[in-house]
Amino acid sequence: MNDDDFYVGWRPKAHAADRRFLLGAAIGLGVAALGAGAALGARGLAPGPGEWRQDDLHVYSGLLMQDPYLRLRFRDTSGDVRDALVVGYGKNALPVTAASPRAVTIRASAIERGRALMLAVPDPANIQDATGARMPATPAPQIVGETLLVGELVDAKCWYGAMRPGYGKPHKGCAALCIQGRLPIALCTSSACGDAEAVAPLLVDENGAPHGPRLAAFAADPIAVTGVLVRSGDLLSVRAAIGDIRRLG
Amino acid sequence: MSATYKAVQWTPAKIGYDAVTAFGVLGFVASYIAAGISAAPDAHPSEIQLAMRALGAAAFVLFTVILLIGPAARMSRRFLPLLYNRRHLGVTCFAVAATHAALSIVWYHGFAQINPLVSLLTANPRFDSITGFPFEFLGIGALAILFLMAATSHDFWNALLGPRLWKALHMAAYPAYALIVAHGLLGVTQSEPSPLHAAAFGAGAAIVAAAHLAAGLRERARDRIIAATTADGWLHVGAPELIPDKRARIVDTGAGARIAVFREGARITAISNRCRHQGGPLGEGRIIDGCVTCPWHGFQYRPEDGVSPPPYRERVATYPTKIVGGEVFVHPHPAPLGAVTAPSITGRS
Repeated sequence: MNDDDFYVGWRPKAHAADRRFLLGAAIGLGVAALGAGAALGARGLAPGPGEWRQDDLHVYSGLLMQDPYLRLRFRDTSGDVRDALVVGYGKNALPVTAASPRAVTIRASAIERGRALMLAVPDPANIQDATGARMPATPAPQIVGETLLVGELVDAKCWYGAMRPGYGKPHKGCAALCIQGRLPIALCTSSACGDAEAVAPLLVDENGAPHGPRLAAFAADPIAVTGVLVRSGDLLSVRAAIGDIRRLG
Repeated sequence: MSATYKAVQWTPAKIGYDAVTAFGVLGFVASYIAAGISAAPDAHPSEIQLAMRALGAAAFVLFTVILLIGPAARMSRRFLPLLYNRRHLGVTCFAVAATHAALSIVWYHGFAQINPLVSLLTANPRFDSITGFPFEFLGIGALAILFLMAATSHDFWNALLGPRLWKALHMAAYPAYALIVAHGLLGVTQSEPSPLHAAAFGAGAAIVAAAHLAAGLRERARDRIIAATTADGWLHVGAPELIPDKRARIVDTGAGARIAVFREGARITAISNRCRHQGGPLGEGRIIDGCVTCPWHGFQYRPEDGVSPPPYRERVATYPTKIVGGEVFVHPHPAPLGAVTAPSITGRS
């Protein structure tokens, strides 16, 4: 080994051999970084098809009701009757109740995942009582049948598209907060919750009332639920007692 | 080497090193996010969530590179320039990991009525489960160690704590890496449909372990001798010709100490093999401008008294040498720190 082979970093200039090596290493590491980033980024958890156009506020007119979560039944621009869950902007339910259905106008942004629709209301004052409008009738719940469902417990707001992805173990803390904040709870029954075809019926207790924060401990966990599947307008829910919800892993 | 302390003593090499590091990290993160968006053309992935994942992956990859530089430099001197400013990588790794943590805490644990840190610590109490384990705690542990190492990476702390304590503190890099691997395996990979992320964590850990094992085995087999001891306690080094000019032969005393016996022309001197800075192997360095120069960070010591040239003040032990019958001997007991030990002169120049 001669002087040229011995690197001393405080010298003003590295030897030619070191410069060549360092240049090669820099190029190699740079290419490897770009390649590794692309490879890992392309194979992450699917975000799901949901979307929240947070700054795009629209006015919706319809019947606001508590069934079991706050929801709005309204006619869309094509005249079809739609059901949308109504939530706030953070990880908390709106401080609004509707013990009996009432006609309202809501200025809100849409969180949409396929046909599933949720309206996010930035301020409770955006909900105003309305009169004179032709309102759709309240839906009658239809029992679909008893069922055994297996899936991941999610909060509906994130799963609809507030988070993308809004499921999986890294999302557990967020889901737990949303559930503690009394946002709607759902059960993603697909093996791939990011798929466009995945469905997530709401999960309520055996009487159709929200389970509330007691399910926060199950957030993002794989669970099995034995209950009754019920359809109410656009909303599908599974009614199950807390004892019929079992953690799988 | 520092006579006075500056935040960073910039040199062209350090600027280039940091520029490549910045390009590598930003390139990794950007390609990760771009690929994540491209992979879901019909969806609207959250750029923030992609960024937090990309930053976490970048911290892991960077940490893996950091831990590979040590054994790589032991295997080939070509990698020593990467070792020289490795602490810059460490500080960058902490910054990337901290950004990942901050984004994750704000995004997943913010926007609620509970304090985000309280939520972080209480959201998942499943310590009794492997698959459900609160992996966030593993990340917190790793981040705390990374902070400790980044905060004490400056030579000021090395001088204040002493090289042994400083080195012991920075050996916590290995538990931190293990925590990051576990954080990834029990966290993000639990939900991934693709095995690529889990494979990356496993492969990174396996490569780091294999590289250290290979370097350790090579170290044992290198030109290092446990010297024969004469009746009066001197250690036999060998003929002067066995020591390349301006370089050293490392002698193991058999009692845990190593002595670097240098030859510069006809002058034979011996100093501790352990650099005062970070414990670098002085015997693998060379004599430059009359000073033994450490191969790791270029710290220098005069061979006759083990003291760094002015204005620097670092000191290492020197050892008496003698030449008897054309053979070099070194005494295993060091001279007092800073004392001049006269070099032995061989019969030729």
